[in-house]
Amino acid sequence: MPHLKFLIVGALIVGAISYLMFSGINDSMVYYYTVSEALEMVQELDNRGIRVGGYVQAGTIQKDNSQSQVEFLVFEKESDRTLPVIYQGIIPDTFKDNAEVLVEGMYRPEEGIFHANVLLAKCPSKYEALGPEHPQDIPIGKGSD
Amino acid sequence: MIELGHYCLIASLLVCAYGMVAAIAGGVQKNLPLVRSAENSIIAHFTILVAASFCLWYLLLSDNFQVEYVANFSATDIPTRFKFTAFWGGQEGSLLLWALVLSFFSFLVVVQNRHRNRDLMPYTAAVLLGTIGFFMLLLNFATNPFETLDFIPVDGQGLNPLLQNYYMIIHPPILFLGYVGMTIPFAFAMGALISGRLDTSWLATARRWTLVAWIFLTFGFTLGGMWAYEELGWGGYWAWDPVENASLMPWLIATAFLHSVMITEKKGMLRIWNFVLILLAFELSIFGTFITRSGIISSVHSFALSSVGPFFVGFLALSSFVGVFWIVYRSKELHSEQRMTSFLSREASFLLNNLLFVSICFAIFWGTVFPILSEWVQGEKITVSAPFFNAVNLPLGLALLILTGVCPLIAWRKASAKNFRRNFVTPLLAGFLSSVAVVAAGVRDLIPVLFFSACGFVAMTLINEFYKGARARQTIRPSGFLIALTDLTLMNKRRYGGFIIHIGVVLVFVGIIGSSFFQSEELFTVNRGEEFTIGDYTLRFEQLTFREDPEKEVVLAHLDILKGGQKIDEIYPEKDFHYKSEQPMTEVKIRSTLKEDLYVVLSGWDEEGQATFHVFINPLVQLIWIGIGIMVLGGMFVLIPNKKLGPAVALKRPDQEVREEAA
Repeated sequence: MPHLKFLIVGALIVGAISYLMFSGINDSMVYYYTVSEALEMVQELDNRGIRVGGYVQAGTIQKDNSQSQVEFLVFEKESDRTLPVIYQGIIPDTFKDNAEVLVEGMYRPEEGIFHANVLLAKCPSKYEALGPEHPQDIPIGKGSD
Repeated sequence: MIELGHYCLIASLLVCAYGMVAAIAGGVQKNLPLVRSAENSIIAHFTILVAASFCLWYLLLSDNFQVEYVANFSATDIPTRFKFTAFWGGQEGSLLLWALVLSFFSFLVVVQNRHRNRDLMPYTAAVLLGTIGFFMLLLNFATNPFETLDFIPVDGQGLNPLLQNYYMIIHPPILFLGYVGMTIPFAFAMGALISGRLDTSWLATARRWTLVAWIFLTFGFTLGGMWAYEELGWGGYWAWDPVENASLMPWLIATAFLHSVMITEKKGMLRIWNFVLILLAFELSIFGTFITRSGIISSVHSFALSSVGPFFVGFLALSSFVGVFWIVYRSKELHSEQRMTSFLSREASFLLNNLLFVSICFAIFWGTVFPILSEWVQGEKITVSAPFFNAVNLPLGLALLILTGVCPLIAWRKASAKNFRRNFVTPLLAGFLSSVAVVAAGVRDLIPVLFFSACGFVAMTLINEFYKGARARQTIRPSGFLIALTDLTLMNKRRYGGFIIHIGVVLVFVGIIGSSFFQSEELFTVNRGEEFTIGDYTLRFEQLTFREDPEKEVVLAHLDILKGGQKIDEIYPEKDFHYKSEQPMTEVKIRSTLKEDLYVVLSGWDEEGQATFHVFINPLVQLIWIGIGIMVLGGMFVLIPNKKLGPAVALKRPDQEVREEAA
């Protein structure tokens, strides 16, 4: 059976690669929580980060001078509940009031604060901002510039 | 213009529908005029879609904000070039671009195959029209770029400042050329399957188009990486973001196909496998377009959730079903002409190469869709991030890199001890010496040492190939070494073009390993006149200036760069604040040398004149861009049509020697 040895070796290689993948998933998986779910956590997950998505509550962004640490509230539209977040690191340019954000890190129930080490931000949806009253905001007649 | 745009879209959908029916009917009845008519409908479709695209460009350039798309992605005060590129700033326009490019490629296929691949063409045309038709359905009914608002805004929203740069002008269309290009090999594969012409003729056409798509994909995702590196300011170029993964997956499968096709042509093996790869590459291209455009997986790239999801899922399911059906239907006719005999053979090494490419792709796919799958299966959304992708891809990447060196050296059928001695001794020595060199240079981590050693090994095999080939050529036709080298390369473009690509691959690996294992980063908060040191560099913060431009406020920092006490350069990182989008824009400044990039970000400042800088040293990053440049050029070199060679020169190539030896 000349084919058998190829099948065996092939199966071994595929097995090794699968093992690599599944162990990789177990080591790096991160649970995705809503703001409410995070707030209802009683205990910190052992050494395992979670991801929380929501929107930046307008007016709650506080940056320190070096612009490398920021505190803000993430709120969820469904329940109006908010989660305080502290993040240290590079602040993306798209991070601002009402932006949709995704934070990854640890929630400490005893402090009630989410310590984030990853902050991803999306611009607020383009068209929502443009209500019927919007045109007045834009200066007209800038031909002289 | 708005109405004209609508009419063009409707007309082009009708033309597609007609052409598809005509192509299938013409193919089944062997009715040549009907097939020609179907092919002409591709040409007609292209013309109409060009007209539709001109309508959209006209509306963008004339600031017609009644059109929702124009209001969303353009504005009166953005530069004209960005009004032009706002065409692909959003979903509707991107999908129109997709359709336009596919229509153009299909047009080329029709023109090139007026007298070639005639048995395949009816079905190839039908598949092309079916795919275009899918996009026309989307554009007409789900995401129409000519949709109007019920009021006319005074000004548009403008283009996100992050996207206002040259990378974003060319990155999306180039990437799309790659995605779209994968449709053509798929159409030829289906043409071969449906018509039953299963010899290698479809492979030749499919191979060239795959290479075209491959070149554009390579170039496209590299531009994306360069954009991230130079605009986003986090010091890296690749984040395993779903949108990035989406472009890498079809690339990996296309690369696997470009290798497996060699085994089919030389040995008649892997015939079903080729069809599977082409089908996969096509589906992954559509999937890539889908996840880029639908926002189904949350990603740093901001694309809104949209109405196109169900259409894409339906099309993916339908086209996969059709593809799998025909492969299974023809599978009996697609048996291998030869069998594998030994592990130590070139066939086996190519098979392993394919297994690795597909595994890497599968791992990336798995990691990318994991959030969706876990939500369906467990009800909990679980994501995996960069550590997963790195953990899986490092060992697989290393194995693939080593194979890059082994594949061309190892003999067909069964390698002998003589083959090993002749071909492997110097490369192995080079690999060993590279590891000694990097250890001597202070590298103590195992992984980078292994990678650099493998790079040395592969580099030596490549040098050997060119050197031996040129020497052999000199014995046949005495000439200078460089002339012999050029002749050799020109006479076998596929083989040596492939090696040129591999040279690029080695450089890319060196760059990736260098920049991911030896990056240093630090945050400095300093007053004016103060100095700080990172790596070999000392930076002196000279001053901070504020300036108001019509559209933005600019904060500019001036730093002197010192090395060994001497001032060698100045650098001006800045932060802009765009009034319209109310968004800051970090303008990273990079001082590049081959050895390393000094990457400076102005992250903040206060009234007292203190400023904070985020500084990175990214070693060897430039090698990545250079390496990819070489890969793209190598790919283009392979595509150069072969001139009619003069009197056939019996060129004794190293692989022929090996074959004789093995026989």
